[in-house]
Amino acid sequence: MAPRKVDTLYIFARDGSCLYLRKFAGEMKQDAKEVEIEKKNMFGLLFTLKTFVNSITPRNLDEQEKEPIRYFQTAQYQLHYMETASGLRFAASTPPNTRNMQVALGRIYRLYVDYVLRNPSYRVGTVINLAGFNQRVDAYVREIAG
Amino acid sequence: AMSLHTKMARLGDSTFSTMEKVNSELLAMTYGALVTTLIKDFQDVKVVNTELEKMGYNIGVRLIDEFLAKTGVTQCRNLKETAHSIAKIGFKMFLGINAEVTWGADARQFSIEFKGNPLIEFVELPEKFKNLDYSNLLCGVIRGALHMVQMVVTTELRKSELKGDPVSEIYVTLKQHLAEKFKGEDD
Repeated sequence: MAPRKVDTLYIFARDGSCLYLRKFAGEMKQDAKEVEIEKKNMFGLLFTLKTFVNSITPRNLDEQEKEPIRYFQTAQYQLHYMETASGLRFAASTPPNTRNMQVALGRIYRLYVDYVLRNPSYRVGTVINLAGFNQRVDAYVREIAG
Repeated sequence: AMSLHTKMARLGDSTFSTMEKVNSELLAMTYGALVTTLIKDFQDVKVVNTELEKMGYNIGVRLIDEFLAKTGVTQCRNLKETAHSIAKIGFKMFLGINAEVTWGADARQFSIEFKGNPLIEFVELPEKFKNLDYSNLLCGVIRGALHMVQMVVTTELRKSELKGDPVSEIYVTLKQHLAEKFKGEDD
């Protein structure tokens, strides 16, 4: 499979709170307020985009058929998105024209199940701060970067 | 064309085959030790039932993601599909047993019936614990898991092989669907 370079990974809960934000390229913003704004904006964008996409769909979709967004793309980057029935939202930015990222997001979901949810010290719905999960995500992102 | 239920049963089987397994005796004895400790701590069978259900709920809110991640199920179109997913896929992949759905008094109620619950292996309920809902953990698991997919339900252990019934039965009632809402929406 062609290399997939993940720049940033976001995980949001159903209520919009950001459980995880990780940058693999470039630097984390230093200012905590700016980071909070980025998280809020990202969730707001994804939420609004989903609503918008469903409202302009050419034929009437019933509740269950609503279009899942897979990604949007600009000249600079591609933002991939995956939402679970449990309300978890995974988003990852990559260089443009990166394929098979839905698979990658699915793999990260599996890592979340194994290394976050199974950790008894982790309270569901709170910020993820677990070394095991970080290591596994790092290793996976390195693996698919080729 | 394969019926949806057959597809679900197959998915349950195939997912079960990929799951890590634990020795069933170890599971049964661990669960038995847990219930015994609860009885020692709380003395009151009603309280123990409630505690088991609460524990189950806390397991369920996590288990749902394992279910979704490993089966690839994205959503159920209606309560019937949800019921069959629990019975055909969930019970199979997590407990290794086959469960059946029977429909309840109205469209919002259904039963999951099953035999061979691994939690009750070797267990005999003494007379003084006849009101103990030994497998109540499973009721909580279902309630917790469904809560994470926006369904508020009540669950009840209606029949139990431990109490002499031919099958065990968990009765599920849908109370409400939760709407999509996120913080900041009311700002």
